[in-house]
Amino acid sequence: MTERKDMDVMSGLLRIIGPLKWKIVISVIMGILANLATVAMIFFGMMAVLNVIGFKTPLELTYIIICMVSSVIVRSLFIYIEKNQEDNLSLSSMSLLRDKVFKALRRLCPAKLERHDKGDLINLITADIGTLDVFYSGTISQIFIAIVFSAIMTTLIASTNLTLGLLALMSYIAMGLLIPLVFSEIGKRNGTDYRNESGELSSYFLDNLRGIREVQQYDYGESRLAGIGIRTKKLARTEDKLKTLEGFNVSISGSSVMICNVVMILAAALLFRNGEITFTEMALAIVAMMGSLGPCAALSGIGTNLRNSIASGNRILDILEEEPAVDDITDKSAVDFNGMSVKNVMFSYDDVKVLDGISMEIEKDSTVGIMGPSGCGKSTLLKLMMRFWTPDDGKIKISTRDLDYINTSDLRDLEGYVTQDTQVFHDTFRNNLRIAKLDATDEELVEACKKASLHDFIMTLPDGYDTVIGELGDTLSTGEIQRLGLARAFLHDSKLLLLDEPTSNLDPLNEASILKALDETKEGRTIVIVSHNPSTLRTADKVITMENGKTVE
Amino acid sequence: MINRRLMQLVPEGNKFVALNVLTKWISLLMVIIMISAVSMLIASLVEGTVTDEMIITTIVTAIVTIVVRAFCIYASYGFGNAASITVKKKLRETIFAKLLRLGIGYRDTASTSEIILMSVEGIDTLDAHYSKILPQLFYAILAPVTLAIIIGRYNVECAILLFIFVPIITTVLVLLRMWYKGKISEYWGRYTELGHLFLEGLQGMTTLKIYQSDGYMNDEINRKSEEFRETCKRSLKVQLGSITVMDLLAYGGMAVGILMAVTNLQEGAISLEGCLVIVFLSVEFFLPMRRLGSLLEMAMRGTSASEKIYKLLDTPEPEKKGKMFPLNVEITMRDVNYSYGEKKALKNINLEFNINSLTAIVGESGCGKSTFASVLSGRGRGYEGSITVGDTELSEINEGSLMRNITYVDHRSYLFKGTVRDNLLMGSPDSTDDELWKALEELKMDTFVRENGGLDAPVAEGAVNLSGGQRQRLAVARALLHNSAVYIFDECTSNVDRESENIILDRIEELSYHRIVILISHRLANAVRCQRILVMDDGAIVEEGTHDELLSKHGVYENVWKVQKELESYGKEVSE
Repeated sequence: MTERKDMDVMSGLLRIIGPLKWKIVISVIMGILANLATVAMIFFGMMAVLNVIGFKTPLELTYIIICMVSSVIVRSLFIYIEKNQEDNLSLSSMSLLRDKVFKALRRLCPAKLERHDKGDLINLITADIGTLDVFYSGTISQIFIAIVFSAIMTTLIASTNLTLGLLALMSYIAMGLLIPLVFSEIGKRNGTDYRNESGELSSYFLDNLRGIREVQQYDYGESRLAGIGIRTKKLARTEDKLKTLEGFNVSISGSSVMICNVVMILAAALLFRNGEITFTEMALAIVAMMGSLGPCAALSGIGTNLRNSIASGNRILDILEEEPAVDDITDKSAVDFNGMSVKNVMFSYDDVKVLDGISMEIEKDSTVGIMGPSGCGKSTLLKLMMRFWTPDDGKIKISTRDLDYINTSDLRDLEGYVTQDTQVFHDTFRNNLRIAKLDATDEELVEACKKASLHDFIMTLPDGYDTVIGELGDTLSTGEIQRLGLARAFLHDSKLLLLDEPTSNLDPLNEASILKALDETKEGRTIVIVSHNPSTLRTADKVITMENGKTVE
Repeated sequence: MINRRLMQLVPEGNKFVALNVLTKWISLLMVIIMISAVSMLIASLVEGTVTDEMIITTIVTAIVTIVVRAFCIYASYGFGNAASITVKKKLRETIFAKLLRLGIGYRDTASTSEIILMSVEGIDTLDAHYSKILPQLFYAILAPVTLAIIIGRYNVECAILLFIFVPIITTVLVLLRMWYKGKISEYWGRYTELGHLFLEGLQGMTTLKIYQSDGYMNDEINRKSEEFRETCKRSLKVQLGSITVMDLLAYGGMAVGILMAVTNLQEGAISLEGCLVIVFLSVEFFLPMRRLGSLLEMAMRGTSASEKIYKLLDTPEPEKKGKMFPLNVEITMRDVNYSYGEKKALKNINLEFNINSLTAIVGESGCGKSTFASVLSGRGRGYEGSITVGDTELSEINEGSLMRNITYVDHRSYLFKGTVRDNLLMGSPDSTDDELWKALEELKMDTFVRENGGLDAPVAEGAVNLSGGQRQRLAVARALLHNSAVYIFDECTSNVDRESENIILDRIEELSYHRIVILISHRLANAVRCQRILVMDDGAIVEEGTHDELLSKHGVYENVWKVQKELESYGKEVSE
């Protein structure tokens, strides 16, 4: 996690919503007008009192009351427009952020994405973005409103009496700048901790839900429950600190409002007593002060909230600014598939050497088997062939061109890849298949499923291709899931097909029919099959054996 | 606005609410004292009767009240906070305990992402009920009453007039709530839909990227995000509407109060001091109600989340069984049938499993092997016929006792984020490190674990840092440590290389010298060594015997055996 300066986080968050700038401008203007209306309202109220107790006022009592009522109505109108703008701004910003975060995750996938816990990321896109609501819907405009409005009011009060004007200015600065800065500084660590711990709790929950069968099997409920207790407690401790601070902040800012008012009243009273100002001036100065503290008082209470926003903003910027392990390539010329070669490829994962100078040739239109014990680096090699990672040393080439010089989208078109674990979406069979080819026709779907020996099974289901598969495929057998993965690959129909243990969960007969289907469609297709099982590689033209990250004879 | 069920769920929160209201009320009293003092000062300034002593008294009063008030606000936050922490902890534990009792069946009620959102963020929304909404509700009733009494001391008419606004505002609040209820109830549903899609996209991102469909998923998420935005927009309109209405009412009431005060002053019915007190207090009069109005949306959002939580908590649980799992007895199945809806998955099964035996169940994918395992391990509930462990019917045995005595390991056994040690200890919490190493050695995992930092080697979320074979071997090691009377291994070596597979099978065979062990495999070669092999086809046991006996029967087994042998040894020609 990168530590950014608060100002950098805030300007980063503002940059993201660049196109929505004018909404902020409108809400700031409306906010200033609304606050002026508030002052006007109290001002006319005081004038009414003065009028009644026998002071001379510029307006008749009836007009004063009309002005006062109008101020109330106008004020509500301004506030309505202001808040409406702010709400819209905040909702649009959050939509924008969700999109940006998801796009960033797409860019990071898979190499960097693996390093993030899923529960934490869900928390990021829901809770953290939600936290920024306050920032976009209030904090930003409040800051601008407070600055402009305080300047106006200082000038107004100072024009009556310089001392009182200075007093007002000092009050504004104390409330709007000093208090929020101090509290935001004290709460610095806690805000960040809170967001991170909340993400951790989400991840822990997710982990437990995914493994709930095992938790039951090994009677580990108590222990996992205790784990939730510990994490909730830790989160609660941080939250306690934050909220205690918030309570402190609110009580200080509430008291400051009173102190500012009382000081103003006393100062005005003393000046009046010394005959430096008239009674009317005294009354108006007091009223102006009481009516104008609103925006700064709002700022003085946001210190701790701002902390949360900045912590969430920091987490979001971390994801948005994280560099992917490999950059997408876009500006290269198209390439045709004429075989692949792997030369002296070295690769380490977390400082553990996985591939140790491996080389192999994969001729066009051949079927190559890669065999070896589990953990020997077979799967990693396929990932490098997909350019999910790049080799630390050595080269992988398609048609004599280094993968780094092939457009990523061309590479994806050329290569199909069936991973060891097939990911099933909580959706219909049709949609689960369609992700491999978004514009696939029904005929194409059926054909691919027939090749993968899946069609007959789907047809026994009540809704056929429209049957919804349970979460993570829990309504399917492992064999059916694997065949779904293969059907996707058949639908994708690429020149080079990479298969990672494609039949590990199939019985020999089903395996045979899949291998047969692969064999029948191998015309014009190059296939790489990785397996620990010699029988899976029986259709291969060539079998390469791997051990400890290199080939063995 | 009162969420009764929540109050029953977490009664501990109620005392914090009471304390919270009390401190808020004391801080109101401080405001009243201060306003009286300041009004008195101003009045004497106007009348020209002010003394230094008076100014000092006012300053001292101001300081004291400000300090006490600050302390009260701080304390009220503290009580809100204490309530919040109590509620969150209790609710999270209640939910998780419920999930444990439901097991995998929780997915019938809510998706995983929904539960995550409900358990972390949903509960955060709910805690506001205790820390903010309830206290504010009571305070909003208490404050006008108190203020009316004080104002009544100066002028009864003013007090009554201001107080009339209270039922008006309350009615408006209730109306607003009713009017907006429908608009906001879908809030939480939309939110979790978005979260669900996001989790799906996240889990399947690699697959999506392989097929360049990640952009499509992005569009789908944006679509849901847009729907959610629309819902939020409606819900914020609620918020804005109620704030505006409350604002107008509050300022309207305030203006009426001030006018009354001034008129009374003009008529000489009250003193200047009284007039000022009424003017200042009428500002305070409506603040609590206004604040309550601004919490309306939050309260309704909380209700929306709490409904989902109650739905989960109300999901019927499997009945608690009382009998214990008898040890050292055989298992007998008589006329056992099992169906998924209309589909018959097990047909008329009659079998015995003797102690210290190793039985293999073989058959094609989809023949019912895994259903068989799930019924026998007690997970598949509602079988017909009888399965007895000794003299005890399986369906009457206590869940915990069943889990303790029957260990089921399949190909997708889950490993938890943590360390290798954490995962192994699940199987046997009291094991020493030596025992853990022994289990790893038996599965040839020791070298790998040692190279990666020993028993404290990290296991990432979803064990993504291990290969498929390593995951399976670690899962089997954990199962072996569990040391239970019955073991069911369901294709637990599908991603393991032949050499390691044989090691695991040796270990399984050894295990069967003292236990009932059932091995399910689609690979007949794995079954050869078993004393008894059951051949399943279309939900029924069609053949039974040792490998040699079955071959001599010249039936299904022999056929499949031949095909598999051929498939595995000749390869190419056969596949064509």
